[in-house]
This record gives sequence, C-alpha cells and structure tokens, in this order.
Amino acid sequence: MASFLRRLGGRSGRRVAVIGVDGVPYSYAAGEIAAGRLPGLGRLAREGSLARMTSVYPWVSSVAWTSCATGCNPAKHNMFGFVDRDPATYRTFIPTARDIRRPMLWDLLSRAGKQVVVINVPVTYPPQPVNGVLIADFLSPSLDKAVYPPSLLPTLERLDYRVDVDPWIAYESLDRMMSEIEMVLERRLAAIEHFLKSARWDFFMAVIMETDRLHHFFWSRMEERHPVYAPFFERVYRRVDEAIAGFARALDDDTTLVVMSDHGFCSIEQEVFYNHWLHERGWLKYANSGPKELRDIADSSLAYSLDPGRIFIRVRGRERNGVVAPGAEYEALRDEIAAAAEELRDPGTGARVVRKAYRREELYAGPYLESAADLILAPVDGYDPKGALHKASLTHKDPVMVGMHTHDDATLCVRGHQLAGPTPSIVDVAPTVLRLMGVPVRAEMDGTALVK
Amino acid sequence: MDQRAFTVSLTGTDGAGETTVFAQVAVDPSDPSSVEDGLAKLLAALDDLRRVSARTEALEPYSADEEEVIERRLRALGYVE
Repeated sequence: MASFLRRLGGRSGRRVAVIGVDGVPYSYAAGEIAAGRLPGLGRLAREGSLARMTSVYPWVSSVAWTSCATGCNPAKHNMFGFVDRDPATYRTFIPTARDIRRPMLWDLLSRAGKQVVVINVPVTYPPQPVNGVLIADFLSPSLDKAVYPPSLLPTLERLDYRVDVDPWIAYESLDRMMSEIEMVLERRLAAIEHFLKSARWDFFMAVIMETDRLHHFFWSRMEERHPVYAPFFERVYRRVDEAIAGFARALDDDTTLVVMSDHGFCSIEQEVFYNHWLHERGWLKYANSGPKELRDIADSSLAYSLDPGRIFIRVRGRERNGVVAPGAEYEALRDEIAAAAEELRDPGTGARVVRKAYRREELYAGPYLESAADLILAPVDGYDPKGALHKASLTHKDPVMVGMHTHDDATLCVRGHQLAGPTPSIVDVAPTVLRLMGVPVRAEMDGTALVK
Repeated sequence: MDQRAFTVSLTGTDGAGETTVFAQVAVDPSDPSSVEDGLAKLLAALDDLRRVSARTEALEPYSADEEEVIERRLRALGYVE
C-alpha cells in the first residue's frame, strides 16, 4: 500500500503541494485545533509548523493570492483589487491574469521543467499555458474557458466541477446557500483528489474557495451560535479538515504539504461607504443626481474611492480632467484626507472605523506604484470598506453579508519544516516553495524563504 | 530498456502575442509503440497550441455578457459595488 501511495502524483523528489483554504483565520483554526475539532490540520501542525501570517493591502483574494504566487508586492505584480479604473476614461474593469506583470510560481516552475497542477487559484483567468494542468478561478465566465489544456474539459465535466457557488442564492435563502456551498465543495474536493492522484506533478496547488463563501454569509451566525447555521459552519470545517487529512495521507514523505489561507475573517459591524464620506466633506461631487459609475463624478471632484478602501486623488495629468496639481498641492490634500479618515467614527457607537490611512509608498514599491491608490485605508476589524458611489448614509449593516476579510490573521501550516524568522508574510510563500523545490529564488521577490 | 523522458515546449505567435505549451514525453527508442505514443503527445500539444492561441485571441478579456456575469458574482460577494 505504501509503495502504491508513493507513486501517486508521479515521481519522487522535491515536490510541494499547496492546499489553499481561502480566508481561514489563524486564530479560528488554532482554536479549533486546540479543541480537537480539526484533527487533520492539527496533525500537520504537530508534524511541522503552524503560524499566523500577514496578508497584503488591500486584503482581497485577487491581490493576496497574486502576491502569494509571485512573491511580490502589488506595485510589482500590478494587481490592486477586484476592480480597477482607467484614469484617462474612468472606465472600470475587472483585472485578469493578463494584467499580472510578474511570473507566477507555476510559470517559473514550468520553465524549470517541473510539472505543475494549478486549480482554482485567483487570479488565473484566462488560463495561461503551463507544463501541466491549470484550471482557472471564479473570475472565469464559464468552465469551458477555464481549463488548460482544453482537452481536460470532458474530465471536469464528468466530475461535474463548478467554477464557483452562485452567491446570489444567499440573498434568497440561507438554507439553500448551505446546500450550494456543500455541493460545490464536494465537487472541488473531488477534482483536487482526482488530479492529485492521477496527474504527474512536481508542484500542486489548489484553492478551496468555499471557506471564503461560508465566512461571508455565515461568520457572525457561527459566532452567535445560531442553532442551524453554526453547526453547518462547523460541518464544513470538519469536511475540509477530513479532506486535507486524506490529501496528506496520499502524499509521500518527499513531498512537502503546505496548507494556507490568504487572509483572515471577522464579523461585520458596519459597511462603510467612503464615497459618501468624501462627498459630505466636499472632496467628491457628482455630475448628476443618481451617479452609478465613476464617469458620473463631476470634474471639480478632488478624490473618490474604489473597493476596498482605496482613495484616488484626481491628480492633474493622471486622471481624466484632474484638478489637483502634483507636488505640494497633492501632498497637502492627501495628508488632509488621511488625517480625517483616521478620525472617522461610526455614527452609531463613536468607534473609530479606520485603523490607519497608508500612503501608497508606505506599502508598495515597484514599477506599477503609479497604478496604486493614493491612500489605502486599513479598517478597524468589523468596518467593511465599500466603494459604492451614492449611498444615503455613511454606514449600513447588511442582513445577509455578515463576514469581512482581515489582514493580520491568515494561516500558514507547513508539514515537516520549522519556519524561520518572525511573523511570515504571504509574499514569503513563493520563495519558500522555490527553495523547497531547489529552484532559484528570483532576486525581485519581496518575500524570503521560510525554510533552510 | 532505454527510456528517455523530456519536456517539449512549443511556442506559437499570433495576434495576441506569444503562447507556449508544454508536453511531457517519455520514449524508449527500442519500443515502436512508445515512439508512437510520444509522437501522439506532440501532436496533441500542437493541437492545444492551436486551440489556446485561437482562444487567447478571442478573449479580450471578457465579452460584454461575460463581464456582466463576473461583475454580478463579485457584487454578490461584496467585492465591487
């Protein structure tokens, strides 16, 4: 049996398998392990390391997983959020894999002659050719456009694989959303197991996105011990833990297993609409009474916000009809907005909503710095930053969306290795994988290898 | 048995730029069937290259309908407004 298992996935050697559990917080995972409720992950932690890991700003999956896979900060890889804008036209668009300006781990490993399997890692649509298999993420409009090589599509159709849950179901019925999450999770796990065991690979990476969907719609219900939804929440965790334990058993001793998340999670106290605040302060004006898109802001506006918590100043020469002069005028306005943001309060409780307003150069360095927002507002956990253009109030509590991302509480578990250094960052993952596989770490990477 | 395993990369250029596909081939020169298998894999890689190039050119990056599908999904998840 042991020799059979050793053959699974192909040849022996320095191989790495990364299982992503999107949004699983270290604090929650560690607590559940301590309580004996996640025995699979607990065993991996005992056989190696379990650590809290920091994410990136903004801490959304598109930016975080791209930073993970490139080992670089956003000003080097050019991914700043799920939505971006053309400053010359104010057309907004969804950045895709084509916008990423640094090679991903699987590109580097393919070029080094390693065989790879990549499943559901944000942002991999459109799927780029690799030396192996790549099934793109939930930014794929349909499964048939998500698969490389295209000849694998019938296999995925046989597995009834799904690109993502339908998140709108949650707004119709949380009970139906429970079934949707469990159904898509089972198909995801089946596909992961299929390729883990049947494909030849040196590097395997798959992201289980259903944990993120679970958290968005059920996190506070779990914390409040809802009689139906809290047990459901724990059931999903147990299923994921059981699957990870199974994957671990299928790997040989020469393969390093990494289990990680891209950010943490917490309950939402309030959603915070920064454009409402900018408008109230007179920094943002609208060209009509019902603004719906960026093109509806007035030319006299000084600033606007995009999700999540990104503030752009309308700099002359950079933005369409920009009005703020670069240099001293820009810096003065940026300082003013940053100081005001850090004083912003929840009108209901008086609590601060912004932990820190970062100037972009405090967070990023690289050739695409100019594409970054001028200010990135790091919220106090619980105050979910929103970029809606026209809202009647600063804050709102949505009855369905109850969980938000956190920055400092991602999870990193590496079987068979003790991690070196202080608190790891998500940009350390790529150099760590390269070091484990004996492939040179690129000098441009911001992260450092966490293993010797 | 004299088996030789190697990776073949095939690069094609089209209107959207350069595309490379990879094929893993293992051949035993003394075994005609393994040579046939190797050739079949190379032909399959060529076919992938043709299909990927055509698809890459066609995706720029979403059609209007597809962009709406993705935006709608992201809106439900609270990632865009």
